[in-house]
Parts: sequence; C-alpha cells; structure tokens
Amino acid sequence: MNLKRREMVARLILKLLVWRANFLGLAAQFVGKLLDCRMAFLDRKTRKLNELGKSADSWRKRWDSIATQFKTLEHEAEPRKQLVLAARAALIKEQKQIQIAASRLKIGIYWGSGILTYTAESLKESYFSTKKSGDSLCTILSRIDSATFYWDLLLWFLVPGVHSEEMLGDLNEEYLLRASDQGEASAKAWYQHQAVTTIMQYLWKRVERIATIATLIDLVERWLKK
Amino acid sequence: MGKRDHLGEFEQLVLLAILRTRGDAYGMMIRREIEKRTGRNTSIGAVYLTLERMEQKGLVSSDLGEATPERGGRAKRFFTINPAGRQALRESLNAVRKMAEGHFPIPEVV
Repeated sequence: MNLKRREMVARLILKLLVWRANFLGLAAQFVGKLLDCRMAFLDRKTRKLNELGKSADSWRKRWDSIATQFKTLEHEAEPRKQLVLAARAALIKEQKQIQIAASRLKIGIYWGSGILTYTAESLKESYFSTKKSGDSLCTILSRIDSATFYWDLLLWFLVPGVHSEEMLGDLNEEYLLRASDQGEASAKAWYQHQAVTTIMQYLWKRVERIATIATLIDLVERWLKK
Repeated sequence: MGKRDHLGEFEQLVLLAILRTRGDAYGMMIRREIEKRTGRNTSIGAVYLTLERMEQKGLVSSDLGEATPERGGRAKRFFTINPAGRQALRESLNAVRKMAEGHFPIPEVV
C-alpha cells in the first residue's frame, strides 16, 4: 500500500472540491447581485404602478363627470357642447395612453423573477450536494489505509445517488464480513465486482436520461419545423 | 394504481425482500435476501437505484439508522413499504398469477 500516493490523490480531490465550492460561492454572489438589481427594478415598477393607479382614479372621476354632462348635451348651447365633446375626446385619448403604460409595466415582471428564483434554487441544491459530497469524502479520507480506498473514491465520484453514502456503508459492512469469512482476497474481488457493476448501472442511467432529453429535443425540433 | 405504476420484476423482488427482512430492511440485507432466495447475483447499485425510484413514486419510505464503525462511520438506511407499495405489489403479483393460470398454479395474494 502506497500511503504517499493515496495522500496525493486525496489532496488533489480535496482541491477540486474546494474549487467547486469557491465557484458555487462566486455564482451565488453573482445571482445575489442580480436579485438586488431585480428588486430595485421591481421597486421602480411598483412606484410607477402606484402613479398609474392614481392617474386611473383621477381619470375615472373626470370621466364620470363628463358622462353626466354628455347625457344632457342636447339641451346645452353649441360652445358648451363643443367643450364637453373635446373634453370627452381628450379623456378617451388619455385612457388609451394609460392602457399602453399599464401593458408596458406588466412585461418582464414575472418572467425574469422566475428564471432568477430557479437559478437561486439550483445553486442552493448544488451547495447542499457539495456539502454532502464533502462530508462523504471526509469519511473516505479518514480511512485512507483501507483496502477499498480507491474503489470507495471511484464510487464517491461516479455514483451521485440520493443514498450513495448509505450504499458505501453497506458495501464496507459486507466487505468486512466477507473478509473475516472468506479471506481478504475474495472479499476484495467481491467488492471490486460490486463497485464496477454499480458504477455501470448508474452511468447507464445517466446515458438513458441524456438520451431521453435528446429525444425530447428532437421531437420539439420536428414539431417546430412542421 | 395508475398505468405508470406497474411494477417491474426486480421491483417486485425488492418489495418482497423488504417484507421478508421485517424491520431490518437496509440495502445490503435486501441484496442478500434476493441473492439467497433467487440465486441471482445482484449488485447493491441495482438495489439502491430501484429503491430510490420506488421512494420517488411513494411506494416505499426510508429512515436513517445510527452510524456504526464497521460501516466506516456511516449510517444504515432502513426501508419500509407504504400502503401504496403494498397495493402495487398485490396487484402486480395477482396479475402474474392470473397469467399463469392453467399452466403454473400460484396461490392468490390477499
């Protein structure tokens, strides 16, 4: 057993994990800044919406007043008639402007927030998964002299299942049982066989997932071409 | 049980192994039980992949046990069958029984 080489491998993997954590930290800071900008943008929009609401209220009051005058327009003198009609035309124009301003304000309020929230959630998940990975790696490194060290590392790296930590524990438990019953060599061979088949199965699952996504993309592409 | 919840053969085996190991159903125990009873060389990865899938479907649920030194300080995860899992297993086994009727007599699952 070459402990020095094992320590070197462990140090390299730890460095990679630290880089990943640093990258996640930077990404989180970036998304945080974007969220700040988004909040400022939403504040501005809210203020504009409030102003628009006040304009709409004032418009409604003026419209009600004009509408009452419009009903009795037949009995009014010509100059008065012209005045009411002009005011009514101006109010209709103002109504259109308010509608356009309101529709402009609506654009981008929900869409951008959705993407940012999704990114923030993904980052949070990545953070927890990295933390879990780090804890799991620490357990493996604490047994650097174990006969299954490299296989444990390989499983840790290639099998990102929800219960991968418990799975490694199961393998270690049965390895010890087999080593005491059938000898170290037989237990090691069994462990290697289990590790290889497990890695193959998890990799195949990944391939299947990628193939499914590729098929979906292909179907959407064909549908769009139609 | 929905159309998509039909159990595969290995899923049936895993659920039956959970039932057989009664309260001590963690990954390696389930694997050993399947290997002992069917003579099939089963990998721990296949067992966990199936368990994770069934947990997502709500057929089984799991709890963490205590960490032990022989497991490298890692905890065991114990699995139990949910009522939905029991129902799915019953329906699945009865479907096999009905198909085998007249050829291989299998007693009804109640």
